[in-house]
Amino acid sequence: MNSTSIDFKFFIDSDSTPFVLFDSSGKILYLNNSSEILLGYVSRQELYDITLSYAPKDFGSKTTRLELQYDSFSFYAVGVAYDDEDQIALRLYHKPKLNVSRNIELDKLPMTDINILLEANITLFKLKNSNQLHLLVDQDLPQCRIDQNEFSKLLRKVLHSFRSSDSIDISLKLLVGEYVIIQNKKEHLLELVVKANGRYTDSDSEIRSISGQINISANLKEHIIKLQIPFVS
Amino acid sequence: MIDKFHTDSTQVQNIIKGFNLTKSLLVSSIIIGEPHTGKKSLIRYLYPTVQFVYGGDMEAVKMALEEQTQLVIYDFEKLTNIENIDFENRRIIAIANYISNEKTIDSLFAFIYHMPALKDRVEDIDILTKQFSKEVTSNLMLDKELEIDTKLLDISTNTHSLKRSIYIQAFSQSCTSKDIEEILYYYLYNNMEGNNDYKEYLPFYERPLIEAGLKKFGSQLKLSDILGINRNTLRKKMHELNIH
Repeated sequence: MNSTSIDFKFFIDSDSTPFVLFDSSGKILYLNNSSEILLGYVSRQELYDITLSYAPKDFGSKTTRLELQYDSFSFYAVGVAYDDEDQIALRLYHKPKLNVSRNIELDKLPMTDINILLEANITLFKLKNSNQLHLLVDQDLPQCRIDQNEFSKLLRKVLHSFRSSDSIDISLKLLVGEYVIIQNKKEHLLELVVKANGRYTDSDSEIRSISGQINISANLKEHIIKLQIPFVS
Repeated sequence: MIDKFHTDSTQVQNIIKGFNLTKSLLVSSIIIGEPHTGKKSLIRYLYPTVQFVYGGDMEAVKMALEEQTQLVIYDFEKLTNIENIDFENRRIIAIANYISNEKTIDSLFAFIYHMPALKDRVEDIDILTKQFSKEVTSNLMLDKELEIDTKLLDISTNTHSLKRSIYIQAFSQSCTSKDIEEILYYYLYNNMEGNNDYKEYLPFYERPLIEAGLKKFGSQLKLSDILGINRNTLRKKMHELNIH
């Protein structure tokens, strides 16, 4: 098969695996959409250093197992390839976003307007707390299947962990270009981000445990909690 | 069926908002608060068609859970083995006067609401007083509107004591001397048993007589004239009854 006539750029552009092409001085010659997002969390220099450190000894390509974590991005391996002295490429392989080992009984889960669940939990939170809340949600999100009771418990605990913050930012949006495979079906991901100037960590283990039970990936940091929710329709 | 739940309390209004938002969802909620704070009335108003089951009857709860996807369990604190109840994909609303195991409640329920006592939502006292006054005027078929002395309202046990204090005021304002005699007769008949009861029960009459008289006429001098007794006798009585 002659592949020279195929324009691979589009496919690499839209690949969720970050791909960066450097010149010999470490200047970026090309980066795909996914690595553009990644560069918001890691410096060009750091990626170039990794590229050089894990480059094969001779022309060719090499994949090395390496745990990397940049914000919510987790990688388990890097691939470095070059076939001349002028260009060298780095590829970072995502860790699976979710461990969907438990069989989700999709039919049992009711179709849910997730914004209503969020609003109800915010109302509950406001009953006890007077923190300023800034909400950024997509009101047009279609309904999805979710364990309403467990998800509400999770939201309650997440919001409660920010109880002493003056001001809390909450955003809920559909992640563009990120998917999770559930029962051989590619599903979109929703991301709920709650952040403030600080939070309590006393419920972190419960937040992780409930998230795991309902196949939500929870990323807990000092000032921020990110939940990635399978958007099963 | 209650067609409206009257409240001016922001806290209660937010509880209503929370319940309204989750009305269509399969979530478990609990509302906890002192007895007689209106929890049951509120839930009856919000879920008029949902079955209510008493938490003290485990068998009835089990049976209802087998048959229903939505259920109100009242006196939830009386329910035993709550850890074994399956709340998955159901709409459960529990009403509790108190909770003994906060951790279990926290793990069972998605939405936990606390109904404030009347002393913490004074804005509702006026609404409830008007509501109960209307009710008592109708129930006792009173000719004129009740004049409520707010100082005599009792909210120590929430709506229970409030309603009682309003009925007492209603009765006080409408009763005849014959009614008072009958009440005293009934009370004395049931309670007389000592060997010094004349002295024991006479203040029942003397104390309100002197206190009301003093308030109405202002001075002991005037009151002794009105009562037709000697001023010293009145002063002596006041001393005995510890009236200042």
